[in-house]
Amino acid sequence: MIPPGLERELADVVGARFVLTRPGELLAYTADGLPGYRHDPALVVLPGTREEAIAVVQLLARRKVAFVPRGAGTGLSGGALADGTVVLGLNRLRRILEIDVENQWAVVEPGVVNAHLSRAVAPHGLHYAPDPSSQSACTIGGNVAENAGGPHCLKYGVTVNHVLALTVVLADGTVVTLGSTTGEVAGYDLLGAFVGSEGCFGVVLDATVRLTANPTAVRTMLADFPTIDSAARATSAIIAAGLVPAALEMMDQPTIRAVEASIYAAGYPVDAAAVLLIELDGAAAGLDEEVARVAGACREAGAREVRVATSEADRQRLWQGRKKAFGAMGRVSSHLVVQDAVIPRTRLPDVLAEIGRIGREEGVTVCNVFHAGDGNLHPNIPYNGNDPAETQRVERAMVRIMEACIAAGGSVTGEHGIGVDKLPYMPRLFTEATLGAMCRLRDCFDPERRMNPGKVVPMRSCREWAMAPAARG
Amino acid sequence: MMTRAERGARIIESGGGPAVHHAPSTERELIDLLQGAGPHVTFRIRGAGTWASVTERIRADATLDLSRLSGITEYVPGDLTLTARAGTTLADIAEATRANGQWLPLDPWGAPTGTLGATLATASTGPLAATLGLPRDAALGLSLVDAAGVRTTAGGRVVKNVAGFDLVRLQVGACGTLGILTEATVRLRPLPAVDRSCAIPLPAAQSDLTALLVSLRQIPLSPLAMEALNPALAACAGLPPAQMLLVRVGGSHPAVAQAVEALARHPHTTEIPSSAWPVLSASEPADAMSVRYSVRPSQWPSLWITVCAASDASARVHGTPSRGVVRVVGPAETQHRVQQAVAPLGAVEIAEPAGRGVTGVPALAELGRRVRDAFDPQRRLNPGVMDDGRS
Ligand SMILES: Cc1cc2nc3c(=O)[nH]c(=O)nc-3n(C[C@H](O)[C@H](O)[C@@H](O)COP(=O)(O)OP(=O)(O)OC[C@H]3O[C@@H](n4cnc5c(N)ncnc54)[C@H](O)[C@@H]3O)c2cc1C
Ligand SMILES: Cc1cc2nc3c(=O)[nH]c(=O)nc-3n(C[C@H](O)[C@H](O)[C@H](O)COP(=O)(O)OP(=O)(O)OC[C@H]3O[C@@H](n4cnc5c(N)ncnc54)[C@H](O)[C@@H]3O)c2cc1C
Repeated sequence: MIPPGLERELADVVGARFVLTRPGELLAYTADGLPGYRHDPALVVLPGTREEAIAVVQLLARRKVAFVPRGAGTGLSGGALADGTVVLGLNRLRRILEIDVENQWAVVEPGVVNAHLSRAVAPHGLHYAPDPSSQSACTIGGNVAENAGGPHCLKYGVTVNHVLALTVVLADGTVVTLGSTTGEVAGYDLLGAFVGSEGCFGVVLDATVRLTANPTAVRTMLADFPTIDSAARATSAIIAAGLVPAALEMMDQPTIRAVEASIYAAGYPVDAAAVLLIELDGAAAGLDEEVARVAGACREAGAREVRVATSEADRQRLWQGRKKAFGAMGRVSSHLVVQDAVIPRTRLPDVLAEIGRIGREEGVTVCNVFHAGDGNLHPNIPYNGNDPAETQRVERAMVRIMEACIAAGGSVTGEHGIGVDKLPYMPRLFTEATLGAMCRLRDCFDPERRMNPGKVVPMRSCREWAMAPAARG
Repeated sequence: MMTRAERGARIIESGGGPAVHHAPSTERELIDLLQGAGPHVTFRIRGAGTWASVTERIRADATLDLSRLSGITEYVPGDLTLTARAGTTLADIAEATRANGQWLPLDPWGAPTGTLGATLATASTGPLAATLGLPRDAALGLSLVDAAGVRTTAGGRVVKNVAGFDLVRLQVGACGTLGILTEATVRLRPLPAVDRSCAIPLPAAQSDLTALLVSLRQIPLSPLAMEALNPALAACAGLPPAQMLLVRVGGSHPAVAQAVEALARHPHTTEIPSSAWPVLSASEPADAMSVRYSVRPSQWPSLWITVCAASDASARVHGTPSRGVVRVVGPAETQHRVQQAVAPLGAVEIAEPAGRGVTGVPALAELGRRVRDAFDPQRRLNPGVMDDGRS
C-alpha cells in the first residue's frame, strides 16, 4: 500500500533506527488501550525533533501517503490505529520547552507525558489540571487530540479549557499556530475546533497549556453506600444543591473489590455497594462547612459512613485506588473493555439501574468507575476475549448500554473519543447533514483526507457529501 | 496604512438598511425562507439589534430578525443545563435561573435585552469571563440553519461530550457567517451564596500597578471578576472619576468575608454594591466602536498605562488583567492614536466586529477562507463580516 522507496526516504530523515517495519517491531502499534481491534500498520516512523516531524509530514504529502499520529497509545477508542498505512509516533518529542511561572503557562512538545508536566511545575506551586487516570503514560499530544478529561475536570474543565495555543503541521506540510498566548485571536476559533479532532486535522508539534495554582486547601472524602441507587441519588443531590466539588467519582462493588485485591488497595469498604470519592478545594475559610453539606447530602441519600481523609498520605491512598482502578480490573481477567458515555446528571439513578439490568441479562460483570459529577460513565466489562460466546455477550451488553445512554439524552463519549469503536453510533447522535458539516470542517484542514482516515465520522457520510456538492446550495 | 478598524469599516460600509425584513417565529419558517430565496440573496442576521453599530451596517438584501424565535425550551435545574431559542434575551434567562439559585455567567457589554444567539455568535465576553469562562465554554450544544437552509446541530445537552468534531466551538464566535443559531443548550452555574464587590483606586506608576496586581493574587479566594476602568467608565458605574479596579468575590459567607477583609487592606478601597456591574455593562454607548488589545498578563500593566495615556478623557477604556486584555470604546481618532501608541508592545488587536477576521498570518487566513467557503460558499450570511477583506 505504501509507495516503494518510502522506507528509505523516511530513514534519510529520521535515521534507519527510527523507521520500524519488522512485524515484531510493529506489534506494539497494532492496538491501543481498547481490546478488540487490531490494525497492522505498514511502517512506523519516529521523528526525534520537530524539524524531523515536519520533514516526515512533508515527505508523506509529496508521496500522498495516509498516516496516523500516535502518542503513547493509551487511547480507548482505537483512534491511533493504522490499517496498512503509516504510524507517525510523536513520543520522542518530549521536551518541556518553556515554563512561564508569572503568566502560568508552559510550552511543551506533544510527547511530554501528562504527569511529567505537573511534576516539573510542582516546585512553583502549580500543576496541569486535566488529570486522566492514564496520566502517568498518556501524552499531551494525545490529550489534545482526544480533549481528554479526568476526575478534577468537574471543577477545572477539560483539556480544551487549558490549551492556549498549538503549533500544528497540517497534512500538506504547512505549519500554523492556532490560538495565542494572549487568548485573543482574529478569525474563527480554529484552536477550539482542533482540540478533540482525534488526529484528523493536523499533528501537534507544540502546545501552550495553562498551569493552575495549587489550591490553598483540600478536603477529600469517602462516602460508603449500601446501594448503587443511593450513591447515584447523592451525586444528583450534591450537584443540584449547587455545590461544586473539585472531583466527584463513583466506584461500585466489583470495582472496589478489584482494587482492594490489588497492590493499589486503598482501604475502600469491600461490602459497600458503591463509594463516592469527593474532593472539595479552594479557600480554607468556609471549606469545612461545605464538607458538612456534602456529607449531609450523602447521609440523607443513605450513606452508611462518610469519612474525611486525615492526612495527605491518606488522601493519596484514596486517590491511588481510583486512578489505578482500570489497572486493577485488568488483572481480574484477560481482557477489559473500558467504556465511556455521558448522561444528564439527574438521570444517574435510573440509567445505572438499567446498566445493572443489562449486565445481569447478558451475564456479564459491569464494573462502574466514573466521573459521576459530570454524568460521565465508564461501565467497564472484564472478560475472556478468547471465548467467542462471552465476547459476543460483552459486545451486546455494550451496545445496549450505549443505547440506554442515548435514550437518556446523553452522548456516547465524554472523553475517550469516537475513533473506530464508536463510529456506528454517530448516525444515532447526528443527522447526515451534521455529519456532512463535520466532514467539511475536516476537509478544510486535510482536503486529501490522508490524516487518520476512517476515524470519527463514518466514511459513508463523507463520501455522500463529497458526491453531492449540489446539495450544499 | 489603514488601521484594522478602518479596514473593517470599509468592509461594512454604513448604508441605509435593507428594505426586506423577515422575522420568523419558528425554525421551519426560517428554513423555508432561506430555501425559498434565490441562491444569491444575502442576509444580515439580527437578534435584538442592541449592538446596532454592527447589525445596522451589514450590507445585505434582507434582514433576518431572530428576536421572535425566543423562549426557554428545556430547563432541568438539577442538571444545571438550559436550552433556549436563539432570540431569548439574557435577561429572561437570568430571571428563570435566578429562581433556582443558578445563573448563566455571560455578561457581555451592552444591554441585558441582548439575545443568547447573538452573544454566542459574537462570543461576547464581559468581566466574568476572567474566571467563569468564555461563551464557548458555556455552550454545550447548538441548533443551526446553514446558508443553504439546511438544519444541523452541534454538540448535545450533556456537560461533557467529545462525540465528533467540535462544531460548537467553530460556530461560537463565527458571527453568524457559518450558520444562523436557532437554539442553544448552555451550562449554568450555581449562584454564589454571597456576592460582594470592592473598588480599589489604581496607582499611576507601572511598578505600583504591578505590585498591586501581584498582591491581589494572594487573596485566598479567586475573584469572580477583576476589571480596570478609566475615569470615564468609573463615572458610568457611579464611582469617582478616577482609574479604578473593580474586584468581585463570590462564594460561601466565611470565604467572601475573609477575601473582602483582605481587599480592604489596600488604601482607599471602598465596597460597592454588586449592582454596579450591570449598570456598567449597560452604559455601553449604542454606536460604540471598539478595539480590543491583548498581551501576556504580565505585560498588562504597560498595555493599560499606554492605552490610557493615548486615549482622550471621553473615551471609555477597561481591561481584564488576568486575561491581558484592554478594550477601547471611542471614535476613530482615538482608536488611531491608541493603535499607534500600542504598536511597540506587539499586542494582538481585534477591531469589532468586521476586523475580527483580519489576520496577518497567511496560513490562518487561508484556513479561515476554506472554512467560510465550506459553510457559506455564496457569502449569503452577514456578508463582509469575518472576511479578511480580500474574498
Ligand atoms: C453598544 C454595544 C456594543 C457592544 N460591543 C461589543 C464588542 O465590542 N464586542 C463584543 O464581543 N460584544 C459587544 N457587544 C455585545 C453584545 O451585547 C452581545 O453580543 C449580544 O448580547 C447582543 O445581542 P443582540 O441580540 O442585540 O445582538 P444584535 O445586535 O442583534 O447582533 C449582534 C451580532 O450577532 C449576530 N447575530 C445575532 N443573532 C444571531 C443568531 N441567532 N445567529 C447568528 N448570528 C447572530 C448579528 O448578525 C450581529 O453581527 C456590544 C453590545 C452593545 C449593545
Ligand atoms: C488506564 C487508562 C485510563 C484512562 N483514563 C482516562 C481518563 O480518565 N480520561 C481520559 O480522557 N482518557 C483516559 N484514558 C484514555 C487515554 O489515555 C486518553 O485518550 C489520552 O489522551 C490518549 O493519549 P495518548 O498519548 O496515549 O494518545 P494515543 O492513544 O497514542 O492517540 C490518541 C489519539 O490522539 C491522536 N494523537 C496522538 N498524538 C497526537 C499529536 N501529537 N497530534 C495529533 N494527534 C495526535 C491519535 O491519532 C489518536 O487519534 C485512559 C486510558 C487508559 C488506558
